[in-house]
Formats: sequence, C-alpha cells, structure tokens
Amino acid sequence: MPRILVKTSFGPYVVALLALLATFIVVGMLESTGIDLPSAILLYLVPIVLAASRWGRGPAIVTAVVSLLGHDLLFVEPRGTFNVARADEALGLVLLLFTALLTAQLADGARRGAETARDAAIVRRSDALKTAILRAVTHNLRTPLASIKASVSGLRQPGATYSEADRADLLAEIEEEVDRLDRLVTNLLDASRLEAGGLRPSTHPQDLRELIAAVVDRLAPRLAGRAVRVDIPEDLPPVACDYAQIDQVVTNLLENAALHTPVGTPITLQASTQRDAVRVAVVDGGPGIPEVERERLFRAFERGQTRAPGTGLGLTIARGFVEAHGGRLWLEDAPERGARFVFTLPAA
Amino acid sequence: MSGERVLVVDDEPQIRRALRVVLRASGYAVTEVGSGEAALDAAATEPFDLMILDLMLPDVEGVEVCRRLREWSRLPVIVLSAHDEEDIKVRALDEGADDYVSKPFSAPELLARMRSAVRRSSFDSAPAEPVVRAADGEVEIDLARRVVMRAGEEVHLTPTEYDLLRFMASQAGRVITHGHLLRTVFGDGYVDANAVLRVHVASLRKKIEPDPGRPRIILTEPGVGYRLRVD
Repeated sequence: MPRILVKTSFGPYVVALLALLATFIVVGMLESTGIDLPSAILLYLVPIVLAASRWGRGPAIVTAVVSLLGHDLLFVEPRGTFNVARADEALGLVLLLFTALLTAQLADGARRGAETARDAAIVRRSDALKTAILRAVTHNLRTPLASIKASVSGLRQPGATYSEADRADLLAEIEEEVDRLDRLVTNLLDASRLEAGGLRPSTHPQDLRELIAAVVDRLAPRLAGRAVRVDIPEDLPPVACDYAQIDQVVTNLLENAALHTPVGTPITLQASTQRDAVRVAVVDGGPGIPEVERERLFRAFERGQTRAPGTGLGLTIARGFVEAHGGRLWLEDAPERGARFVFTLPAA
Repeated sequence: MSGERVLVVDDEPQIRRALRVVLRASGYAVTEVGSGEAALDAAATEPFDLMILDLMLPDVEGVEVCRRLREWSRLPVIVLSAHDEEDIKVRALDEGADDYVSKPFSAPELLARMRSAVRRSSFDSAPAEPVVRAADGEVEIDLARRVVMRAGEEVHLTPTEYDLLRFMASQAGRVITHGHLLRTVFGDGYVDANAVLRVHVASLRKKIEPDPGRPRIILTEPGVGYRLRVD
C-alpha cells in the first residue's frame, strides 16, 4: 500500500511547509514594498496546489490551514492575533481547503491512471517475453523431435530401401538429436534455477588445470578431428569456485566452439593470472563473430548465423554461472582469426 | 521407384538430413536448401516435381516464398508447419501452397501427401474429369450435367450447396482454406463468414454423406478449411 506510506512519511509535510514559508516571505516582501495585495491569498495556492498534486490530501490540507492561519497571524490587522472568526477570513479558509481537496483528488486520479497504465504495460511486456521464451523453447524442443520422428518412422517404413550407410546416418541422427534434447533439458533446468536465484555456487579452492583437462577428456568424442591445445601455466593459483558450475561453463564454451566452427578447426584453452583473478579463454580458429552480434549471443535462445543445432541457452547459462561467482564472461576477437570467449574468476 | 525431383527447404540441417535420407530411400531425387532465397533460385533454375517448404526460414518467410513462387510457377508445395503456426499455415495455403504436414510428422504421412500432390499436379494439366466419385462410388458428382447422385438416386442441392460442392470437387484431394472457399463461392464480402460456411457444409453433409456425423467425403481440416476426399 504505497499510498499509506506516502501519508505517514513526514518528508512531504516538511517540504510543503518550507514552500509555504517561502510564500510568507514573498508576501511579506511585497507588502513591505508597499504594494497592496488584497489577493495575496492567491499566492498561497502555489504551495497548496504543489502539495496536493504531488503528495495528496494530507499535506495539501495542512498547507491550506497553515497558510491561512499564518497569513492571519502575520499580515492581517491586528497582527499577532487570529481573526478566523471574521467572515472574510473564514471564507478564505474554506476556499483554500476546497482548492486543496479538489486538486488532491484530481492529481490522485491522474496518478492512479498512470499507475494502472504502467502496471498494464509491465504485464504486457512480461507476457510478451514469456510468450517469446515459450515459443523458443517449443521450437527448440520440436526441431529435434521432428527429425527423430522423421528418421524413426522412415526406418520403420515398409518398402523403403536403405543402404547400410543410410541406416547408419539415420541412427546417428537419432542419437545426436536425443543428446541435444538431453542438453536442452539440462540447460533449461539450470536456466530456471539461475533465474530463481537458486544456484548459489558452493565454492571451494579448485585446480583449474585439472578441471579443464577433465572436461576436454569428457568431450573428446565431440571434439574429434580438431587440434585441442591446452595452454595453462603450472603455477596457476587455485580459484574459489563451484566445481560443477565451472565444469558446465567450460563444457558449454567448448561445445559452442565445436558447434559453430567447421570440423577440423583448432581450439585453444588458455589460462593466466591477472592481479587477484584468474582469466580463462576458449579460442577457436573459426570465422569469428562480428562485434555487433556479440552481446546478442548471450541472450537466451539467440542463435548465431551458423544456425547450428545448439540449445540457444549454453552461453546464457555459462555467463549466469560465471557472474554468480563474481566473475565476468565476454567475447572478443582472437589474435589472428576466430572468436575468443574469456571469463574471469576471483583467485582463492 | 518414382525418381521424382524434390526440393527440400528447411533451415534446420538435421531435418534436411533426415528428409534427404528418408526421401531418397523412397526413390526421390532430393535437392536441399536452407533459405527462402535459395529455394526460389533453385526452383527457377532447375526442374522439380515438388517442393517441401518449412514455414520458419531465416531470410524470407515461407509464406512469402509461396507467394513469389506462384507468380511464375505451379510447382506443388507442401508446407511443414508447427502446431502453433495455424495462422501462418493458413496464409501459406491461401498464397498457393498445396498442402501441409504438421511437425513432428511421420515419414509415411509425408510420403502419402507427396504422392497425392504430385498426382494432382499431373491431373491439373489434363482436362478436368467430368464425374467425380467419392465414398467408394456411393456418391457421384457429375460436373458436366450438374447432377449429384447418391446410391443411384439424385440428390437435390440448393444452388449454394452445389457451388460449394463443385468448387471442392474441382480441387478434390486438396486442402481448401475457409477464406478461399468463401471468396470463391460467396464473394469477397464474406471472407470472414466462417459461420455461414459451416451451416452450408453441414447441410451439404446431411445430403451426401453416408454418416453426416462422421464425414468421409467433406473432411474438416481443423482451423484451416475443408478437403474433399475422392476415390
């Protein structure tokens, strides 16, 4: 209930009364210059309308009452006494109060209208985002399902004649697509946990050399036919990280390089110490990625020009994990050609 | 084996690979491209008997490919669509696509649609058959004499019902969208009058279907239109 908060905080009252004080000073100055101000009362509308339109009814009423009483006290003869019992003074007070209430009500209506419109816009935007994500997920699920279905039903189709090579091709396709679905499900789970803030890393000092060697070993089948060079100094200090999450980061970066560069393209893994952080780079000798495309690739379900069958989540998740460790992950030009993905982790 | 030439247009390499192997095993000669522009180029420079067109392409939308192709070619087109792309699918059919298959599709289903699309396109160049038979010969639509017979007896149709049936018979086997039917039979003012169409189709089914509750001749394509099944 933000409106109640507005009413109970004293800030608006203080500001309104300061504005009123300024008005009294102005009225006093005008009076001292000898200018006759029978309608000085109009000047008080300035702080009143200001208070009413900005902070609502409470500050407006207080400003109205204080302005009239103050005027009465300071400027109406006999000075130093209240004359509210006089008809003209009473009428003035009623008019100021009426203005204060009316303005507050109008401003309140306008404010509420704006709030409603803003809420509706936020709901619309987040609905549009959800729809976009849902569409992307269904597309990413449906494509492998469609090729599995086409392959399996093709193999089972009576009357079709498949060579050994064709049969092997279709079976390989089915296996690859099932693996892709599996990666997608894992990535979706990670992404939703990251989103919910539920993937806080449990950090322990880890030897990145060992971690990277293990990942390269595990991914050997996917990296077949490529020269994979690991270039890490022996004295690399340990980093404080969650083994499973950084394993996933390195895995996603390597899979990304394998997916988006032609078979045979070399991949290099480098690590170095940078002040109190360790910097890891995955460099490929592929075609590289134009600067304008780079940040887009880290958004969920954005895919690069190669249209390779990725999950659209690998880089998003890798960045999420690295940032959860207090590090950064970005993409830059490789020294000669290709792309260089770099991430940093705080040293242990 | 048929040896017909198929142009497969899909931006997903895995789908292309599966289709290539499966269609080749059924005797088709397969050419594959990954974008709409490449599809239009290929269709313009090489002879094909059929195009299989994914609706979600990175460059030119599938619907746009249909529209541009129809400016100069009658190449039969089967679109591949996902379940949440109903509206795009209908637009593609309105722009001249011949049929659609929803993803994920099975190979036999796609192959059946392909055979029927190729068969129809060879009919299209031949003069129209004057008598169309449906429901195992129980129903005969004689387009030359404007007579519809069911089980040997003449069926009395209103002029609108006859126009509807005649148009569907002229497109026998093909999906006809609601919009296409309404424009052709009722005129331009009725393009959104799906309810009107439903009423006429229902009364037509009552007169010619052996079991109007389970239509065998005028089939409903949910969300898209109708298809007249002939023998």
